[in-house]
Amino acid sequence: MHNSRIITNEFDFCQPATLTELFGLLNEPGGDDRLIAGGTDILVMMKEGRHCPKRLVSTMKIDELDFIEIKDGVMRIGAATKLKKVAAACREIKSILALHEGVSSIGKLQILNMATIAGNICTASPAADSVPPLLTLGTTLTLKSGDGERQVALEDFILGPGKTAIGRDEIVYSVNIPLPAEGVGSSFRKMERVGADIAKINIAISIKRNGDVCESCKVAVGSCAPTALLIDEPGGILSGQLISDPESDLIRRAGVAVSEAIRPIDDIRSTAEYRRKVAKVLFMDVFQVAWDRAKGDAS
Amino acid sequence: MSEKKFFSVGRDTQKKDGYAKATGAEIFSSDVILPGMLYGRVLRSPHPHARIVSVDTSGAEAMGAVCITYDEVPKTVYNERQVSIPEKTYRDRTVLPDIVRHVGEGVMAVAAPTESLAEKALAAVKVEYELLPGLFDPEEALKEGAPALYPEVMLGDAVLPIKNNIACQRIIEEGDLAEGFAKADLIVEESFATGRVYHGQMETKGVVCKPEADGGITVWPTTQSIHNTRQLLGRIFSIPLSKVNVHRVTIGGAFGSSIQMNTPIAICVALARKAGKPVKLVLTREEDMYNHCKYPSRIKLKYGVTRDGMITAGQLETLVDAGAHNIQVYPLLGCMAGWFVSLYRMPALRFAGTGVYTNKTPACAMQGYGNPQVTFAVESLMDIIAEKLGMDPIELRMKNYVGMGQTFWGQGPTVRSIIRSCGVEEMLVKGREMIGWNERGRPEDKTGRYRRGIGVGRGFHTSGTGAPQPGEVIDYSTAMVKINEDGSADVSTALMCHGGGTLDAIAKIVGEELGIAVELVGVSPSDTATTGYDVCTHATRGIYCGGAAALRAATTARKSILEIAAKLLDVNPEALMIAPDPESGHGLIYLEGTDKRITVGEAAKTAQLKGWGTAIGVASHRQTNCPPCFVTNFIEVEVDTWTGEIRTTRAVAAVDAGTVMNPKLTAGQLEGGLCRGIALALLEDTDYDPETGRMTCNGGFTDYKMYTAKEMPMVDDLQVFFANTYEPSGPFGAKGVGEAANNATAGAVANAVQNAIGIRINDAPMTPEKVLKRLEEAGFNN
Repeated sequence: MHNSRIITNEFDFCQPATLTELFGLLNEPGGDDRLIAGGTDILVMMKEGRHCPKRLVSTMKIDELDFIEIKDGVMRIGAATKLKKVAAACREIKSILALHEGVSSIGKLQILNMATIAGNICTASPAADSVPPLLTLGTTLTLKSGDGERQVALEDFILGPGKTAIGRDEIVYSVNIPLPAEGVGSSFRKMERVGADIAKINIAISIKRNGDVCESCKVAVGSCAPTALLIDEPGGILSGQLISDPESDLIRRAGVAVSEAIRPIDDIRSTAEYRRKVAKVLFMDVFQVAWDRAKGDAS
Repeated sequence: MSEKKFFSVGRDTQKKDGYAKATGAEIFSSDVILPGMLYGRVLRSPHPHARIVSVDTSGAEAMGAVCITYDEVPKTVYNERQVSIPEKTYRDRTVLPDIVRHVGEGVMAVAAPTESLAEKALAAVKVEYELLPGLFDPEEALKEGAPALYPEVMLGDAVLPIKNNIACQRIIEEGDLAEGFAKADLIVEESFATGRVYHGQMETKGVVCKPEADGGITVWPTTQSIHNTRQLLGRIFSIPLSKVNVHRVTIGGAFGSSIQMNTPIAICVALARKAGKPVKLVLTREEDMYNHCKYPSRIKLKYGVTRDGMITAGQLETLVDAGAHNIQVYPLLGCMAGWFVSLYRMPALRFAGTGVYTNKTPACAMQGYGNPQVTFAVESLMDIIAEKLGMDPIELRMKNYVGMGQTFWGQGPTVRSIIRSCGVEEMLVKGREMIGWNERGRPEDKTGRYRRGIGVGRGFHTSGTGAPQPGEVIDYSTAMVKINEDGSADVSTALMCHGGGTLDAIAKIVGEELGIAVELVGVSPSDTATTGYDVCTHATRGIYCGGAAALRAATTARKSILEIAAKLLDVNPEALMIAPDPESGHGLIYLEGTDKRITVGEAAKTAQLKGWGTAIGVASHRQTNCPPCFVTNFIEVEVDTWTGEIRTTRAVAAVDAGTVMNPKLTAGQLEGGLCRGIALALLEDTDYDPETGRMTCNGGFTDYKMYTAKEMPMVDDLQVFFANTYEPSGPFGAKGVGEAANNATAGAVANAVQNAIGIRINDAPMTPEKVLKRLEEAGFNN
């Protein structure tokens, strides 16, 4: 039985103040480094003995990684930006309210004050609440190393539980969210056992609306497969369709398509059967909210 | 109801430990640090059932750790519960075992100068196990040929062979059952279940033990009874009680988890005695969750009723999954019978309970002690009967409840008394107005995805376990009150406060009797060397039983100070009164209609200077009654028929606690009890993986979920009120509150769910997964 009070494994701890220092550390030969940002996941894993790194390299003191800027229609969030700050920034932009809702549902204040946006992504939990909204928004990541940088789409970055496409000497530098044009509404919903919990299932939607026509619809579901899934079927069913009633059979059909597309399992939080049954309902719920939001200021 | 006006009883006053707790200054056992102290850690079994073949401690000892194994601890077979008389105490464990019977059971222990080193030393210990088959289902455990957890245990001083893993059984019968059911126009029988809930107290169990140079020990444990801890340690380690001093340390919540002398205490004492140094041992959350849980229930309940709703007979059968040790199944079964019998009158009844051993975390008392489980079944079945009879559920309850002037045996068949205060009707009548009972509608008329329903649940708990004659359970308290030379007073008692304000109430009772403000009454630090025996702060007995002892001690001290004042004022002491000065709170002794007056402080100081002695009172007192504190819950839920999720949208919680000592704290207890009760109905349980014997939640709060304020109704939608009653046998008319607060809730939730969707769910917790399945079976469609 593990001792959740202490970490028994001995490790070194480095807190570089600049990216240059950070890359210097990551390039040292023979390193078994783990990056630590807010530490809300990795410290738990270390206490449980699931990770026993020889060295932890912290991003906490690197100011260059703590920023939110909007330029050329793209919101760039520095990797080490705290979730509290991300949630606050997204609350102000109507088209990405789903991201505000997803991020602010991660734990409670203590977690939001410590955890970071890139940390939530890089932990690569299938249940990460920031990921479905980011996927529907077409998010890319800027990865940097001592040798340069590259862009990678979020959907190509997360490979499986705890697995990402990050290189040994790379870090996530920024999370880049193309801000949607007018007429886009988004919404996020999460089903959980209690009010502060890891999702049984979470879902995000981003809808482009033109009058009563659904121009496009992007849906992502978390906690129902090894990674959060971008699901194309609802878009196929709804794109170009006149939505007379957001509770219509058409929407229900798109919801059924979501239920069929996910690949849930039984685990401690819920069952595969239940997740399938409610995926449809969650889709209908988020569709309705996002549809209203997409209507614009007149609504 | 008394018209007596109180000075401080019944008023909201500042909690004495409020500032210390809010600022972090309060000392809990995990804060106790002694010079040269070592840190203990316990190696926990990864297996649900195994014989320990060998333990190699050489690696740990090479690191400088002190180690203890089964071979080095006393072999006294003990039960951590000390509340029952020895003849009714089942004993089946030793300080460390030679056979582990559940995952998480302590195998051996180490102590080292730091916790980190202790943890490393644990990792270096090598244990060889011979694996034995595990049992996780109580019905499987009963079958012929099932593996045996114990060949025999001790009952009192006798060896008791164990057959079919049956820990104990109780059958209690009254009246002619066959005749009772024959008289019934309607017989209803249903099965019910509740989960294996974890106490979830904020502070995990912990202890510090200091071995003394004279061979004695001083102990700072988390416990609800310092005296029982002392007696059991004395017996296990063969130390005279005069050399075992157990301190009262503030406890960070209990819910029954420390009624016993918890097992880490004995392990810590053994470590400290071997090390010859103080040792601190504080459980991690995982260890704590594997240490104890609530008794889960499987209940088959049957009532016979006449057409006009009078109960003619009742029968309750229960199978209790005790887990790996029989801590208190025997008294539990007696109480379950008592809870069953004392809710509604039955001319004929039968109770049959069986406790069975399994390879799971041992169950122990938890808030309600079988009462929320039994009352969930009874209150659900009352609604089922009402529906079948076409009768209002409240009317059915009014017709049958056990109330004023009737015999009641809530704590089991040996503890009978007559009810002298009863607010049942008042709570039902007022509560139904507050919740809007008449507008609740019928489930078949409700439409839409979200459906609301209102349910009622009654309940009660006994205030302690007192009775006119000695019974199977020990119950008495001791207190000392002395008046200081400035007019303030000290009260000394071994009672505990679990956070609900018990010791504040004791100070109020003393202040009220002495005619001084509660702020001038100090609650003395307490240990077993300087206090008289108090059985345990459990069974909702703190105020009613402990308070009664404190009141008697205060009465003696009052008499003494009045005699001193009478001498000084040259009047007859019986003619004198005391009232607190509204400004200073100091007691003013006066003769009505005259200017003869003296303050309590002046009298006490003069007595000191003249050598007349201290005004002091000591009382060791057993209550001859354990009156029911009744509760009533009205709960409104909203069911999402598309997802099966249930939300509690409104609630009215009422208690008949007699005179309420501190209204805000009592309201807080009702709200807290309601929260746990709702979670018993909807959320909490621990599942076991039969392959590994581990809890699927792994013993952490990541996956063991509890409700918080977030799942409770909004502040304006949660109403609390107190019945206007006065218990003649209680201190200033008071009864208990604590456990009663959650007894009525689960039944009220089940009844509300039925009222919302027309579906009756008898197996708690009603998870969304379970509810959605039932909705689909009933033809609901998302």
